[in-house]
Amino acid sequence: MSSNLKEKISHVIRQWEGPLTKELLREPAKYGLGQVPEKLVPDSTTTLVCGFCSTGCGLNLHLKDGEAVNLTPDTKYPVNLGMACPKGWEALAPLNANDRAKSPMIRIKNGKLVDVDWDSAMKRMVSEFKQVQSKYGDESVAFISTGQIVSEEMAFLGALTKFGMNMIHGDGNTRQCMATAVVSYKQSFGFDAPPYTYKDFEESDVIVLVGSNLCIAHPIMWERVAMNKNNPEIVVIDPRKTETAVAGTQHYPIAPKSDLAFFYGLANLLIQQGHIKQDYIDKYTNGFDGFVEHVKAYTPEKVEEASGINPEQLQKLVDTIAAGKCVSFWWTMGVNQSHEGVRVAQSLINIALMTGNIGRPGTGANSITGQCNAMGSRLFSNTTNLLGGHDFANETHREKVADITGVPAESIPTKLGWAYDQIIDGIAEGKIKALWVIATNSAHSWINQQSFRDVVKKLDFLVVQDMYHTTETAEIADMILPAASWGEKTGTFINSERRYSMVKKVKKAPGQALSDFNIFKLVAHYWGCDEMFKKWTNPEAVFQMLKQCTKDQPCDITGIKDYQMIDSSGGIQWPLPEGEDLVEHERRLFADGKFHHPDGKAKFLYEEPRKPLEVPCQEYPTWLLTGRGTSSQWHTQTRTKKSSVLTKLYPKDIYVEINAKEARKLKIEPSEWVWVKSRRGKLKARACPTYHVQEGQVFISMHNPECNYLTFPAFDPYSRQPSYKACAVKVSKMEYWEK
Amino acid sequence: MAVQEKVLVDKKELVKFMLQEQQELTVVSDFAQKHENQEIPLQQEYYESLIPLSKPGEGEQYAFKVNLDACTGCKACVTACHSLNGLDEDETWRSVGLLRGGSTEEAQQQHVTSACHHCLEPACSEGCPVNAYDKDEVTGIVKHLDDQCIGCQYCILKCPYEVPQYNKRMGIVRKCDMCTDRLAVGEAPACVQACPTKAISIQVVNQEEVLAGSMDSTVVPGAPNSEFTQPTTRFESDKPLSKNMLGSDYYSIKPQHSHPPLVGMLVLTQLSVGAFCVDTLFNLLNENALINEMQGFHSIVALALGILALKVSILHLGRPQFAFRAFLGLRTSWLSREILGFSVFAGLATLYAALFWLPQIENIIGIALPEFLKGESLRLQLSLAVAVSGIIGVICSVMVYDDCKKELWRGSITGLKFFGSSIVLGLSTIALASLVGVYFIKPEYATEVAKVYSANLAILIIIASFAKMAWEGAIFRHLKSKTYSMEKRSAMLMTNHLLTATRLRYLAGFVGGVVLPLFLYNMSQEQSIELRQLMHMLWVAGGIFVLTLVGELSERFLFFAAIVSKKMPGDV
Repeated sequence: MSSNLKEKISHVIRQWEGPLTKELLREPAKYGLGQVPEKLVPDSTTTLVCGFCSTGCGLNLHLKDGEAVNLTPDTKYPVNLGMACPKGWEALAPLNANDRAKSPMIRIKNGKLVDVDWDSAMKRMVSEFKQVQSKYGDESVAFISTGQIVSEEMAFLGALTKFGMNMIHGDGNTRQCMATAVVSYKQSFGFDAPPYTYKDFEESDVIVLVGSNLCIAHPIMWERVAMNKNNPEIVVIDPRKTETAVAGTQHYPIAPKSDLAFFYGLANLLIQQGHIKQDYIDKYTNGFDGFVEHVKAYTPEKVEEASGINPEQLQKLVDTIAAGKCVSFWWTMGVNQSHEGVRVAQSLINIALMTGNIGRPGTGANSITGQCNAMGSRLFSNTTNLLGGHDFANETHREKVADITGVPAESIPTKLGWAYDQIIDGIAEGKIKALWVIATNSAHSWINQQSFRDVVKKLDFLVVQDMYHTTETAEIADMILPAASWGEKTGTFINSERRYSMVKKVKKAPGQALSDFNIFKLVAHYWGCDEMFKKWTNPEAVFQMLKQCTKDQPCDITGIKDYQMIDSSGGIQWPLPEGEDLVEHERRLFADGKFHHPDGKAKFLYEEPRKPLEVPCQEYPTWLLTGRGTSSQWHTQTRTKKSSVLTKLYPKDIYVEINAKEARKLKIEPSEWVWVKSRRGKLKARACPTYHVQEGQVFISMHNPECNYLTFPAFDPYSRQPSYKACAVKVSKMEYWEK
Repeated sequence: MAVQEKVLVDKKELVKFMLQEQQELTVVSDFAQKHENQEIPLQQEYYESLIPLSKPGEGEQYAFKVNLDACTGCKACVTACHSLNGLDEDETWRSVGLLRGGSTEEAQQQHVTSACHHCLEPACSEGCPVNAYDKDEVTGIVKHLDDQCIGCQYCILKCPYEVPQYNKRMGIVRKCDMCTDRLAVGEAPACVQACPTKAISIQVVNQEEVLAGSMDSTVVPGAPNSEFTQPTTRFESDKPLSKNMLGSDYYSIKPQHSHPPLVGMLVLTQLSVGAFCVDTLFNLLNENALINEMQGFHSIVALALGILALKVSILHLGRPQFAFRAFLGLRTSWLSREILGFSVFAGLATLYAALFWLPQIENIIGIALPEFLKGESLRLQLSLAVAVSGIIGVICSVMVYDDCKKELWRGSITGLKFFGSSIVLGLSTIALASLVGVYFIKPEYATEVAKVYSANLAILIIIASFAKMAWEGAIFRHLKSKTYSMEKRSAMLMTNHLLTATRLRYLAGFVGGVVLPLFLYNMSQEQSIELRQLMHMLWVAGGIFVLTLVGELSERFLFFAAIVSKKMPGDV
């Protein structure tokens, strides 16, 4: 037998290589990537900022012929340092979903959606909106926007609707996540200016996390905490023992909605025991004396009564903060989504100010934002302020913006529009008759969902502009406009630490889908106001105008030359005024103690805590806490449920975490289906008994569409942010025939 | 008017232009390429300290180390492994589970990331019938040879850590290879590169120490006993984990894959073996010319069903064209042995069946066959050989599952089920075949067949079916138990998710194995059996056959679907 034949035979009998093995071969790639799958070796790479959360990680897209085939986190990006959470890793998968909106759609008489071309869709939309306006007035058409599109698009939408289409009312889903932080900063600092940079996570020696499950909601920020070499105390203040509470060094499980009393009590002890920086207070702040008086009433005993944290535990926290040289305070939705969130956030700002923990490395009163471009919407959505943090009521501001953008100054409204909840109320009252919803899923995310769904039925016309035609909101729309996704268009996001970064087009949008930018441009044409937006030719042209709008504002970025500069610098934090060199890539605010109020000082703001409008009672004896489920889920899941890998990483069934002892009392078995009912609705969930929630509390993750049928519509009076995290429910066993 | 029209045309052109622009990708020319000539991975600065500097020495190997204190459950490792290894859309090689426990005072939870443990005694490799696994002599990495795999998925049943993953598109299993090629050039495996908190690293471990450490221990609370495969992954924590830690999926048990082809193959081979054995026993116990004449037909029926079983088993393979490799694993794999056992059985059974049809064969081939073939003694010897080889085959089947070291698949349980099926179905097959034979071939023997076969077989079917079902049903007594034993959880599955199959199993088993045989017995007691009566008996026997078969198929479906075993902790 020839050796060749022998080899062939032995190959057939035990085959070490072949076509199947080849599928998994890895090859060295250039561009500093190391080995990658052979079938996905790129011919170039480029960095995009991730399109999920506000962390703003740099993702290195692997391109073949200019089109993305794979991605890895960017090692050199100053945010994520080569890491990403599962959503980032899977960012491309949702783009390929089958249910992408590929054509404009109109709902016909039998309730079905049919494909139409852009021309018919635009004509219909314009005629419907104009009809409503002529019948009910210009203000009767409103829009609900998002923190998920690029700043250039937000600005275009805000300008088009308010300057071109004469709308007054428009708000973003960002109202649901960071309105509280915006207002508290504005009131305390004089401008909406989150002061920190992520490096502060590494430089603190005490990190206080309030209502923030960083490990799950912002894993990459937790990475930065894990890189801290000071062996920091990590204090977690949260009713639940979250993943972050487990990973931290101290946990204070305060009772739901006792936070304001708790922090006033903490401030009181810090003052009483002399752990304050009087120099700093005198020099850089106003209103401290009143604050001292105010918090005197919050004795340790009163704190215990409200929060369940006893005086010894409270003292331990006081000692921890007093011993810290660089103490940073961080909060997320646990604070923001509250009926008195602004004052709670300010109670943290107050502590940071009076202990001198601001403006230095590792310090700050720091709001961690939710969505990828919530910060962009804060500056450029033209909803809560005129483009670039300006004031609609201020004539000089209107003229400045008009001058830069080419829009006639007289077309700029002089008053603010309604907030999200007011718009919904406006629909209920018949004042809003047509609504344009862009890249958000209100029919899942809005509080007290049944009421929302009943209300929107009153609309004459509902347009949903989204990348999928299957979102809960698209399902009730009269018209769907197919939008290109993140990765299919160009523009900038601003992350939590004020960093501008690039979104780029690395994939072709499916079918007839267009970038939101071009959809707005199209609407302008069909509306007949395109003349007004002559200068708004493309995203970069708009960016240049927005840049000019920031001139002389605290968020001045006139020092950013263009997109290329953002790209080559690994993102750029605001401010960067013209003439200033970009040296440091991780910068924080207020090092000079200068705040943005006219007198340059920060303000102490405080108020008596208010009892929530709904608290547990005999009939509904349990607090319902809501929040992020896993790191592989994002908000209403329109995207994350489209990745087969991500869907493997979160629970299949809706579950309710219930205290194990309480479950035993109710004779509820683990994994059993139970009822959770509130005054507004009910849902079925699998019971998950655990000691991580306290007695009298249950937790349901907000990603479940059923969740908001339970929530209670309370709002912070200053920020109008909904209070998602507390309502009264009853958990009960299900009869066997109900299962 | 004309002006308006022009505007309209412009708008349409604007749409056309926009749609065109949407499809243009200009990112490469718009932005500068970074790190163009960078050959050394940039990520190296983060993982340098997480991989060993040198190769394992004698008696050493590579192993994963997980710092549990650092793992917060972000699951980036799962997705990084997926993307950096180019896995199929829904394919993942790493998983993250959650242990929870503690008490009100100290609620504890611990995320656990795990992939292949690259065991010292890899059960996957041991069970593989085609040697598609290779444990590297130097690195100790257990590598799967994708092109060698026939897709039998036995390794999936064998690995107690649920590591090998079946890829339907390719018809093979694939698994973690610790990114062998990356390690070989000093790069870290994907999961190690991607962990934001550096919880995963690669270490060189001493195999002797792994072995010693595996004795009566588990890698994390609730995991399978490490003695079986001796996993090398080290899970380390500074915080002691409380003893009541349970995987978050402990109570939310889910049905397992039911492997329909295996269900069919097992039940039908056992039927075939049972039928041969029953027939042989009848032959040995009865000196009756009738029996001799009937046996030819019975053996054909048994053989046909046996061959059907082997055909069905092929359906289970992802790549049946390479099934011939199955002898390679004989040294360690019970699956190889099972295949060999049933091949021998099928061969002998074919010969045996042929002996009854020698005159017909002579007619067809036109040559006289040697006389010794026609002797009674050869037939008898061969019938014994068929029975013995069949029994060996079934023993191998039992061992295939016993060797998976799952509590509910231990030899005693599996053995009783498998041989029980052989007995029940062997009896019901012969009960049917004897009546079919006599009805179509020798109607004049009807009364005799009813006396010798039908009456006795009916009684035996009742005893065997009843005993088997009673013994199987005993598992339901665990439902009342307070502890969540494997038995209780399996019984819960059978009474919840799998209730339909459970009902089918007992209903079919009772009607086919108890009620109808009673009828058959009664009918067989007639003084003389008319053709009409024979026909009725035939229908009843057909019912017995079909229903007992359905009952046993359902039992086997539950055998796979309701298996509960120790595993790595899962998620909520």
